[in-house]
Amino acid sequence: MPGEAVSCTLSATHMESAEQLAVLTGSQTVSVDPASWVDDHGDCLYRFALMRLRDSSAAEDAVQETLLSAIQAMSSYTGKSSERTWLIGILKHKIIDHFRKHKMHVQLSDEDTDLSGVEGLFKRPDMWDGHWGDNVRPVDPEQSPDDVLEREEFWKVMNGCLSALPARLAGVFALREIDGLSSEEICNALGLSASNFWVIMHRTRMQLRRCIEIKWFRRAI
Amino acid sequence: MRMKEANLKFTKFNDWVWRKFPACKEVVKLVTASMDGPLTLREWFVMKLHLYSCDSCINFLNQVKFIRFTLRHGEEGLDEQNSNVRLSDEARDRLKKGVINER
Repeated sequence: MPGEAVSCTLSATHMESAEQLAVLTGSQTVSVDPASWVDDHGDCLYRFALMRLRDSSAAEDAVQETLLSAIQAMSSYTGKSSERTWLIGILKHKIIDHFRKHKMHVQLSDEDTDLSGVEGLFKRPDMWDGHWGDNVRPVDPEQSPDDVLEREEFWKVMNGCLSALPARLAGVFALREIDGLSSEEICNALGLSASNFWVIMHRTRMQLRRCIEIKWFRRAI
Repeated sequence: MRMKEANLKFTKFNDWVWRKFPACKEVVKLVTASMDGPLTLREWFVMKLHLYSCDSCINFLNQVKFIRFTLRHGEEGLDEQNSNVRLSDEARDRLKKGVINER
């Protein structure tokens, strides 16, 4: 349905329809209908791109390029994965292309690589300067991460904390921490030096952790 | 409060580690670096020795691992938070036209 709020991830119906298609045709190629892609997957692809690119027109462009590439590559779609999984796979490449074209390394500012904000946690007036300050020492998570995957309140907190990350660094963080690309892949694709990559990851990870700690790990139940 | 900060344990061993080796500020850098690639043998040793003496840094490590696990396994929960984010009508039309022209 166009405009209906649909989860981006693979719902059971999407999985089934892909499997059914594959079974029905019984051949390598599966009939797909590009005309329905925008309504069926457009919002989901857009959200996926927006979270990583943090720019609505760049995200729209990435979706457009994805659909056009998908039409070119339609004959290679075998129906083994759902249509949406296939499209997201193409979109991931378009997102990396976008970063590559816009040369992340040229755009990094002094502010982006400044660690003084995250290092404030280690200021102490006593001889233990450089160790965790009083009242900011990390607490034990005391629960398994498995237990929060289904909890809406957790994702509300996580979404808020992710949105607060600096826009230009958030994409790199997402490629690594959400998409699981290797550090080498990211540095090569984005033309980042190992030390710039490390600073970006350290800064974003420290900021996100602090935010999640305050709003989730330390929250009173 | 449900959870407590770790207390600093001033044993002789811990005191020695904290005085002679890099402090928490440097160790958390090693901890995050270790999540993105291998450490040198010296870095690894410094990190392990410190973690052995510092519950706060152990908690830090567990928190960043916790966060990574949820991000890598919880796309659905995160996506639902943004279900109100959609293509604009103009963008939707443009994409449809593009698809039709391309076929």
